[in-house]
Amino acid sequence: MKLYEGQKGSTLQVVHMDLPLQLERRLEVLGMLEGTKITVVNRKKKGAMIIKIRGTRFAVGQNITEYVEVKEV
Amino acid sequence: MSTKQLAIGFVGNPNCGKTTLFNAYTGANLKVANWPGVTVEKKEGAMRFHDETYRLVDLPGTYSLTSYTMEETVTREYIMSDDVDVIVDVADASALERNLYLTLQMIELGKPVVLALNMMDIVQERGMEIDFHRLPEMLGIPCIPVSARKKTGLEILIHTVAHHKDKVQGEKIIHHHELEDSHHEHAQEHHKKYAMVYTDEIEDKIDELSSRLLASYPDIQNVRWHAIKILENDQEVKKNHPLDYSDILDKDYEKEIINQKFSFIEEVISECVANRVKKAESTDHVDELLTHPVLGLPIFLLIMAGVFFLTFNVGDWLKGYFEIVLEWLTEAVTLGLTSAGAGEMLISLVADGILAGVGGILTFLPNIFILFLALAFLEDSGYMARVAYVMDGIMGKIGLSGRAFLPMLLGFGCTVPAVMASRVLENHRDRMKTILITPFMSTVQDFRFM
Ligand SMILES: Nc1nc2c(ncn2[C@@H]2O[C@H](COP(=O)(O)OP(=O)(O)OP(=O)(O)O)[C@@H](O)[C@H]2O)c(=O)[nH]1
Ligand SMILES: [Mg+2]
Repeated sequence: MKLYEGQKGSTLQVVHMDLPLQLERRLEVLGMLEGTKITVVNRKKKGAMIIKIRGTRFAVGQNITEYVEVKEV
Repeated sequence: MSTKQLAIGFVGNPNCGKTTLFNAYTGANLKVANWPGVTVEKKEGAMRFHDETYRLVDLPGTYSLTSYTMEETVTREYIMSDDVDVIVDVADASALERNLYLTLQMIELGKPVVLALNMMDIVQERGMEIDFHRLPEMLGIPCIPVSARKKTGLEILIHTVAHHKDKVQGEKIIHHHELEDSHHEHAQEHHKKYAMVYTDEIEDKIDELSSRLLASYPDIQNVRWHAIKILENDQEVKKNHPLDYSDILDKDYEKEIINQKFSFIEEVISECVANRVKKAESTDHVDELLTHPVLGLPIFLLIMAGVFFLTFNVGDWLKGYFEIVLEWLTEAVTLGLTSAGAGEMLISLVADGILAGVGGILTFLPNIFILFLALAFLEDSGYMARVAYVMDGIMGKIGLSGRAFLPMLLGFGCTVPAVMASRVLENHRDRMKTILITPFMSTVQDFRFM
């Protein structure tokens, strides 16, 4: 499933990211890598989300959440 | 007496308190706010300590030292130059796991680094515990707890920096790794020397690249760092050392290197930090309300209405008193001048001209003051980052991401911060349109009052 389909409060594991290289590296240096577990803190209808990566909350736009493949854990 | 002043560079993630620390040491009054990307260019200042003058440099926050973005390249070039003697790596101790990634890169740079663990007041309030004995053992650099806001630990930090200026390897590194399963000939030695030791596969590549670099550039400083950067396919380093690496770089190693750093960080965190998530809950609830899909926007409008109410009502109320004081002053001055025998012209000039004119402008001060105070409070509470999220869809319609909303909102308050903030806008314009990734600050405990 894609990240934007994740329900509020669920913990998901990143399987694959299909983003422009630069954006992908940006997420990686923030600690969001393949295999990393993230929590969905809040979400909007359009796909923008607040997610928790390694203890820090981040707001991410739809242009990210649509291209991150995740699985439930 | 030394001829050259010691230059200390403050580097760290955005919003970890570098500028607050800089202001505390230098007495400067640079802009501090609770959202990332406040500082957009490097600023210098000076301080005296034990009869020595130190040159301090505040830098824009960055998450890594790759060369993907301008700030990263600029920061990296600057801290590697001879202009910086010691790096103070400022980290938000309440979010250590995220901050350590930059720390590991800084250590690899091979310059003297001191880790300042800032926001210790929050760490204590949350009941978290950090093992200050084990942490320097694992990282190989001094780790000093400070609170820039409460001004604690500042003396010890600067003292450590002064003593650490010539040492690249500060503390003895002690790992508890199992070394038997490593075939690498230098493994034993590596673990004593470097905090970050990679898997055998990567270490072999680093060795190969190191010897190739040394063959062509015998005077190269910190060859290990250069080798790691080339392995990460860093364009800047490759451009400055144009050799043929294609036989060694048989695949993309960058991801693997980032991955292994984060694995090591997980190890450090599990050994050095206790009670990590105990108190995060309470701020989560407030956050949920503020960023609620339906209520978020009304709440924001309500808060803004509150700000304007304060500005105009309370401001006007203060303005009333202000005018009374002004009237009284005018009377007193007129009386004083009359009894001193001044001419009518002069009295009229002072009372009706100067006092009335200047006073007229000054009566707006209470309003501006209150608006400023209210926005400063919002800025410091971290609400602005939430507003960015709440406003994202709406801003999207005019072609900007929610993040661009921050400078616009500040524009209400005063033109000075707005002009300052619009620089952020300009520098980041492209990124602003294409991505939205805004960290939510950890210092949200202030939210409880709202
Ligand atoms: N509780 C607490 N808050 C702090 C401390 N140090 C800084 N802050 C707050 O953290 C926020 C960010 O501080 P800044 O000094 O602007 O951070 P910065 O690292 O310069 O940020 P950039 O310039 O964006 O990279 C502000 O709201 C500060 O008041 C501290 O020791 N304790
Ligand atoms: Mg700053």
